[in-house]
Amino acid sequence: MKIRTKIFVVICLTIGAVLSVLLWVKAYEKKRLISFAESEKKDKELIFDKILLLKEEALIALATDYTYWDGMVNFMTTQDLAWAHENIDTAISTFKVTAIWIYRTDARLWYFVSNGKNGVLRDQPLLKDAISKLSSKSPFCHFFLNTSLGMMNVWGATINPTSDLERKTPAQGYFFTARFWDSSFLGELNKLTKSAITILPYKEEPTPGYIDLNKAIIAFSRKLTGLDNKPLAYLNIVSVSDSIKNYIRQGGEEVIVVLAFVVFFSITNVFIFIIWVYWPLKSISSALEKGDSRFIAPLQDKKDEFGDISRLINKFFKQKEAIEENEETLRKEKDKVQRYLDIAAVILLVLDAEGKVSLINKKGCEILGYYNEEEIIGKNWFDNFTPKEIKPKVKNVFDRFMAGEIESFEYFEYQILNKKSEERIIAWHNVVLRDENYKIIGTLSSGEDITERQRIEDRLRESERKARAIFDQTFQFIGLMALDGTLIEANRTALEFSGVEASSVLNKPFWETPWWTHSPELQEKLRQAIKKVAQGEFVRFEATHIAKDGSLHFVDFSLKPVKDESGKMIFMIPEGRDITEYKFSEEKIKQAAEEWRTTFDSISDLVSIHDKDFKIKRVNKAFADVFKMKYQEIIGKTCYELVHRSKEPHLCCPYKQVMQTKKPSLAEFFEPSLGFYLEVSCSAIINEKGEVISTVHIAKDVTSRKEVEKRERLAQLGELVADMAHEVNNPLMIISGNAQLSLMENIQNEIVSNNLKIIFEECKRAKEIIQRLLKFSRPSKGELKEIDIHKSIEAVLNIMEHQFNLANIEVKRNYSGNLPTILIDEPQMQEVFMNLLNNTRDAMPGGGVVEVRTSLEREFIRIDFKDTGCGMSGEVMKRILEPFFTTKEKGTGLGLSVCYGIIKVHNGELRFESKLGKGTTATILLPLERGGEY
Amino acid sequence: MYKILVVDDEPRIAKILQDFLVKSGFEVTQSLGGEEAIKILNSEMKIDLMVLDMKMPKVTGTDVIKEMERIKRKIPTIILTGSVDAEKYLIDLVKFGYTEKDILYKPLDLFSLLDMVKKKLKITQ
Repeated sequence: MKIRTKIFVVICLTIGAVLSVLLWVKAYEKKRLISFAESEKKDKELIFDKILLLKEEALIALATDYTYWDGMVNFMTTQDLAWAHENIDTAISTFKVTAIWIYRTDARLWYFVSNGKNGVLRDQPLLKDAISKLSSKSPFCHFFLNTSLGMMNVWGATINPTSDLERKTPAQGYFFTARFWDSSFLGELNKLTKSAITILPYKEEPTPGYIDLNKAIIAFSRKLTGLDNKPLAYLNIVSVSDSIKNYIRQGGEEVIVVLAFVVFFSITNVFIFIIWVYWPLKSISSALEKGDSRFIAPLQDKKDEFGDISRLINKFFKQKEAIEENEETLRKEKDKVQRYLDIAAVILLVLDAEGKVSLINKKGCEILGYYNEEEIIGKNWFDNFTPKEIKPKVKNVFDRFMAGEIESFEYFEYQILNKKSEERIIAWHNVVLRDENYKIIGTLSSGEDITERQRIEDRLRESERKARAIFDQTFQFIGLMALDGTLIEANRTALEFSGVEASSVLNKPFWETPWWTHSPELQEKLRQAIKKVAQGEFVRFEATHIAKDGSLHFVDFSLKPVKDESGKMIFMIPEGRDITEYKFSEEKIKQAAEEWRTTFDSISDLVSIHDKDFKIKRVNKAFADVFKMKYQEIIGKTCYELVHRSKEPHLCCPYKQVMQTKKPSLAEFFEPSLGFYLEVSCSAIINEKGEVISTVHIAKDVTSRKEVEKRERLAQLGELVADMAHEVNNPLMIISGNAQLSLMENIQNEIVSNNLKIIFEECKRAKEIIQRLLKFSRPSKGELKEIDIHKSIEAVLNIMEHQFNLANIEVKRNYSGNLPTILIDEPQMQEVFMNLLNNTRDAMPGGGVVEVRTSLEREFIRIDFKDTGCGMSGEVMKRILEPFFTTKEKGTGLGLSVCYGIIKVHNGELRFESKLGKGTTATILLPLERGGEY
Repeated sequence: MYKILVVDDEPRIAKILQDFLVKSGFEVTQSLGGEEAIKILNSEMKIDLMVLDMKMPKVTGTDVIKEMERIKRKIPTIILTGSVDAEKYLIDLVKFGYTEKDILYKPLDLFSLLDMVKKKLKITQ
């Protein structure tokens, strides 16, 4: 059991004991309380009886005093009523009785008097019975009488002369007096006894007395006996005892005090136990468990047993630490030795007398190809690690060692076998190992792996051979020079180039060799170069040498320093590459490039070369001029952000097609940012693998051509329309005229007259159409005025406002603040606005927003009508300017044609941008200054 | 009663105009071409007003006006024309003192013709 549990048990036992004592005290208290209550009850009864007697005393006194009196005896004979009134009647109030009866000895009622209205009490037969009970032997009687008015307490007595105090003489008459035990009497009693008193009818057994300790109630009863000595009723008395109450309360308070004390005592005990015993024990156990003396540090200075224990523990810890430290030092030493062995770059090997491995270091393991020395230790060296061919020889040497024939073998080279059965060449040093008794117990060998060294030596020889071959066979001229410029080596290519023998040039200053002697300038240049190179620089220049056939060759000559490992200059290497042929071809390329560039820049079309991601790689002069930008600003930008000012490639760009077909492709479109029509041809530049690496774009400004084409087309159309209109006029006149004449007749049939009206109306419409057609084909020349375009638009909007409101269309105005006035034919221009606004309305049957925006764009006034309507497909867009092309149910297909005609006459532009489902923007560009037809 | 001369090379149009003007209470003589109109103008026939089509084969409306000018006979004239040719004729007509107000475009509203006739003849109702 843990000490904590033990303490807990002790405390529990203590509390249990205190509680059981408390319970016993409680039980004892209860007993005491009961006996106290019983004595209290007896007191109560005694007091009650005394009080009752006191209350009755008046009645008894009356019955006693008035009956031994000569006056009364005399009255029995005289029946003197005056006396009676004077003496008897006053007794009623004096003694506070209810009634008085006086009987003669013959039991005749002699006198009766009562207080208040109690006259009915006069005849009481029972009283006559009572007379018989009164005699000289028993001159008094007392009983209760149940009358019609309530319970009465009756006292009776014989009447005797005053001298006969003991009432030995025969009775002269009988005297009865009674009092009601009514509520007022009981109330008085209640007050006096501090009880609740009630009269209850008599039962077989009246309620016995009882004590209720909980409510501190004491109850008892008294019999009221009648004349026949039988119980008539009983008096029930219930009272609350203050003494008992106090007694109980005091007992309760005591218990609470004792309980509080017990709780306080227990908590204090627990607390003290924790501080004195539990906590030090816990510290000690933690310290021992964790091996950490810090847990018991606070206990160190205590002078009790715990202090002693903690000091002992501390001592123990210190000893333990010292032991551990020693162990650590030993281990480190061992590790150090192991490390020495391990970092040794040679194999350290100990063989026992049988030739088994008893120690091998890390290097040994490594060379043998094992990870772990355990894999090697214990194995026979000669059986496992020596190649078969040399095993007998090596074993023989070892046996001689063991026999003591050889003490040490300074140097011994033999192969060993590693894990992969590869042979390694090892140079061994061996010594014999002896024990204390000088007995040979094995050998210690250190072996160096010289396999690599031998291999490197072989390779060096090989590579020197190769280098020489390369040196001699290379196409380049190579040599080796001392720092002062003396030639030490020259390769065969160099010698053969000039047709000289090695002996005639070696060990001579380089500049005096036949390669240089043809030009004193070059000789000087070389001397300067050698000086520079001697200081560590690298020099390269173009030189000329004379070949053995006498021809002049261009040579890319270089001279570079060679340093040793310490950075000290030791040699110089002259090198030369014959670049004669290359020199000529370079000239040609330069020329071709120049020709090409001139051609490229002379082209007046915009030429650009793009990579696959649309980035511009190169542009011609015309291109740069159009954009007024420098080449550097253009290169690297994508063509669509530069040319089309958009974030994605142009829809009409032929690039896609080129990428797919790899064949040149042509496209024509209007470019708003430039303000003209472009004809773009695109062709691909393809690499050897057949991939497109870049594209060439040639863009031509074909605006004028386009315009001419369009005007020609429209002019032809205009003539056609005029001819047609004329031919149509007369038939129309006949139809219309006849219809009108018919309408003037008295037509009864309403349908017929309606039809005629329709004919007439439609003829009018046809006439209007023809008139508009004419306007389109030959716009009439109106008057030109300086007009504020905003006022002009407002006038139109004013007319249309009502229609827009009906169609639930909101008009947004976004006017530029600084538009100059412009010279235009206002009524015509307003017709254009009207037409365009009508179109926006028709495009938004469900309502929407139309934005009218004006702006100054370069030398143009720009007016946009932007709606949020149904938009147009590309097919529709292409045809909207054609006369008679319409998408409206009742349209003539002339509105936009007329607009176009008017705008053209003003030398302006009419453009549309539309997205199906998103809306359309109609843009008018009007030049601020214009020549043209006006 | 006023007498009106209707000149139009298209008989059906001439007839329509005649029928309408007769119904409107005028006396009407029609001429199916310029030649005939010139003849009538040169005759003694009383003409109070002329309705003249411009585009006619051989002798045009302009010719008729020129003839009228030549013989100095001043008859109030209402010019009829298809809208196509209006401008072309207007240049000539202006010279003889006609304005756009004297022109009616085909196909015409007969009642506007009646209005113009009444205005020219200074008839008030």
